[in-house]
Amino acid sequence: MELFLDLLISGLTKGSIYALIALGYTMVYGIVGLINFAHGEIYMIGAFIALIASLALSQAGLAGWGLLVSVAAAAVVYSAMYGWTVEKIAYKPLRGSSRLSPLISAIGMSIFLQNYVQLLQSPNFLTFPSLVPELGFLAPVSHIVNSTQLFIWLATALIMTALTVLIKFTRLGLSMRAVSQDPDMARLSGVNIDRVISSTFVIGSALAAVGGLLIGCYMRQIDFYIGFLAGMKAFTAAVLGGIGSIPGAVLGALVLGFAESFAAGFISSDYEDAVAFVLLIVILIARPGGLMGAAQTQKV
Amino acid sequence: MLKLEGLHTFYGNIEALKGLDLTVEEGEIIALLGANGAGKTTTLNCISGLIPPRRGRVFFDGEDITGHSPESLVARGLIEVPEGRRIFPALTVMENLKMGAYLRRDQPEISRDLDYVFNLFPILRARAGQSGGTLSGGEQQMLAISRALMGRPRMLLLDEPSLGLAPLIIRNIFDIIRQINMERGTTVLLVEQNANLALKVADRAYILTTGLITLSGSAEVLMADEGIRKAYLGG
Amino acid sequence: MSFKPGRFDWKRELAASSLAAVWLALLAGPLALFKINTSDYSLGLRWPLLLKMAGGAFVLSAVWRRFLARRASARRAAQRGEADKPQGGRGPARTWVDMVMGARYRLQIIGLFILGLMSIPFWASPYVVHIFITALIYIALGLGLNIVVGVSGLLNLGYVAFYAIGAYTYALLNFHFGLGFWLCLPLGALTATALGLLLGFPVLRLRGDYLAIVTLGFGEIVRLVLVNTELTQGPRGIGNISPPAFFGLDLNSQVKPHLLKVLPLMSPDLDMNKALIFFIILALVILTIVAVFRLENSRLGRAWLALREDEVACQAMGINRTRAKLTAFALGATWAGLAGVVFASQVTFINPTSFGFMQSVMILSIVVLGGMGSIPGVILGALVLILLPEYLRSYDDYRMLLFGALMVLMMVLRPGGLIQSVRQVYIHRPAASTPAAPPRQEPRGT
Repeated sequence: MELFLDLLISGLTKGSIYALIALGYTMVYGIVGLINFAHGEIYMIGAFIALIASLALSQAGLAGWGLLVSVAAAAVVYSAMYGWTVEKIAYKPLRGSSRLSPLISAIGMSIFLQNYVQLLQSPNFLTFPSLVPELGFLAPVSHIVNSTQLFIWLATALIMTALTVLIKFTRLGLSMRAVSQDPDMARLSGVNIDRVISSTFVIGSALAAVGGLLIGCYMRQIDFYIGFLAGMKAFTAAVLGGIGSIPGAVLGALVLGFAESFAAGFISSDYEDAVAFVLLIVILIARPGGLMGAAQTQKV
Repeated sequence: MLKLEGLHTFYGNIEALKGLDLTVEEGEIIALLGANGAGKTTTLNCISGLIPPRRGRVFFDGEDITGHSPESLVARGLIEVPEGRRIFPALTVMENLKMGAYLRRDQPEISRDLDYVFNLFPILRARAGQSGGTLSGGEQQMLAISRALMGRPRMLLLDEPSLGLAPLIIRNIFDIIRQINMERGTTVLLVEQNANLALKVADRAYILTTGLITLSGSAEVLMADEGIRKAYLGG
Repeated sequence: MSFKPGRFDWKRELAASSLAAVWLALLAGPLALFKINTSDYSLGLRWPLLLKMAGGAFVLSAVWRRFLARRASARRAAQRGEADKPQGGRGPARTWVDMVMGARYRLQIIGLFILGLMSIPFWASPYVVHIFITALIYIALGLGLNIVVGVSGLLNLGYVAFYAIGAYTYALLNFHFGLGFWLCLPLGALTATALGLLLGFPVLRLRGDYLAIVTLGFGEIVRLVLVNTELTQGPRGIGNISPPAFFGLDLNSQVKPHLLKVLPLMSPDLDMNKALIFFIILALVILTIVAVFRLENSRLGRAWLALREDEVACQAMGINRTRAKLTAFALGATWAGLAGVVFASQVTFINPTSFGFMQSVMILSIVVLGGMGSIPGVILGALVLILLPEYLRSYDDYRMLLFGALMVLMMVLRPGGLIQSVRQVYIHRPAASTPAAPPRQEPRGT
């Protein structure tokens, strides 16, 4: 029973982080039809910025919740800047060309950013501090759930809600939905497409940054390569849920998190990484549009 | 109000517009007629900025707007209702209308325009919460026109509003086009294959044949003309 | 800030490039300025580095803007002067390719070229021979993937899996049963093809991007299986793979001494087995080019092109989509399998690290960079992408960094690829008495 609970909890935790990353993928895909391969690197950069910020700010005397919030702010702002810049450099010039050119450009960007961070910092694993302060009321159950995990769930849930409100009820959200459905018509309605696309990248990057910060707190170590693997899996999760669908991304991420956790627990941890892809193939055979994908009818 | 001078457009190597000249005075309803492939939609695309012309110029209110982005033209009051309705399928009727008023900030006026539009097309009020993709063709066209009206256009560009619609609905829409023109003074450039209806509602008309204006004049004169009757009005 | 045409505006350029430098400084700031000391986790400051980077950004930005301005004004001049002439072109590289193809003695020219290639082992250093073998293998891989991605439009991100299957088939059969190269060549191809069909069946009805990620997953699954199964020797890999047999002769002891006496330029360090492999892969590549060329111009090839452009129209025209897709997929797998067998014989030791996602990316980049669907493009792309890292070797640490940057740059500068593929276009000249103009070569739109 205790094992089951453990696996459930770790699955939920991992799933939450995958969700934060997957949202970025799905939003960008929904709006420009691009698989943003460099998104995983934005997540990784968020983690690194968080680490550096935590070291610098703790030296300056910050601690506890103040430290956590400041570090989060730094990571979010910086990842947003990176996401914005990557879009302007590697994707915007290729808008309108074939589907594959932006893909190659994205992959090139991903390679560049990985090596960029590796060269500037270190090729090795770096220890990440535990930034989430201990929550007193959790003391009695701390062997099952710790503060970091609870914080991850709550933070993710909060961010999801905020994102949903943004998409459904704000002018920006409306324009984002319009652009993803019919970009030319959106322009004819007065929408500045460049700004909407940039905003999408910025928001997605901010979410990924939070994910990077949280994974650092959870796994207590990061290296320049974490973006690649997490990125691929998060993208798989987004596809699993139906690429382009925001609730789909969250659902896919959670399903993936649980599946990985239980596979590692009951089958073997060697194949943990393969779970994502096996799951994907199985689900796509049954539902080619993903879990929440619309029925695959194409109007002729 | 709108002036097109010597427009030349190319799709790749194919010349679609070969030197187009056209004028629309404020308050008029102008019909742009022609067979399929003559270049009518291309002309509108040139004006609205979706496909800038390679040569030639577009003037709106005396200002050169050639190649300006569609977004900026909406702000000037030049709004297009493109071919095929093009409503946002996953947005509700209400949200589609809100998109029409995207650039506006004057909330009380927006509400007033919303009422106006619902009075023109009562069915939209009934379907306000439905998503656009579930509407019928005629309802979508009403929504498309309403959406454009929500932007308080000074000039409307309508691309084949009758396409694919039942005759009764088409007549309703054309009546409303005339109504809008009279009540709000909105200038209209109407592109149509259905020459009959277009000429009934328009003040003047131009006939476009493979990229060039071949004929122009007042609607009554054109309707009475033998050649036009044979070619476009079924004799 | 966008640039305006006309005179070179110093102030504007200065402002724009300064802005770029400042932005880079901000962006790279935390990562460049602060260095985490891995021992005590204190933060070291690196102002000189940050300033250097900002300076570099300034220079790069100025150069880039100048380049773009020149390109824009060249385009405008072309438009003004030739507004009625057709636009676009195959690219600068196309001129000599087309010149060759259009030349009277083109077969002779190509023949001479091939003879020249064949002579390489007899005068070049072993290192050069090795590089050429690798390049040729990647050309074969590129051409194979080109059928799947470039011509048929099926995005396969896990192509390396078939390559691995071919290599491991030979390695395992050689290791466990001592089977030779020539026997394993078709066997490797067969296994890869079988796997291609197996993967193809359930997966080909998926939409483009879903297909991409599933194939990516498949590639990863294959790699993970190779790493974790005892049968494949896991991460230890398989070594001592025999080179191809040549009529039972030991090339190095029996043939080389004779050749060395006759050929003054030949390097004595050259492993003759490698030379043999060179000829084998050269022959394979030539055969591949001929085969792909014939395929592209066949009914099947046109069906593939139609698939890429519009699937629904395909179906409406009676093309059996499933069969076309499966054939493309399986044929692509076959080539990868063949290349894999040759690769195994070349390196004589393989392990799963040679068959990761990066390889799939490389091969895909060759196809896209070279020009989707264009044979000369793929060849050029392979040469560029294989030889480039060799040149960059001197920068070792920065190698991958530059490679990534170059990938982005090449895509931004020429999204259609280096040599875009060509499609016949018929241009009707409406002049009254003259007959319609003969078909002209026009670049395929991206």
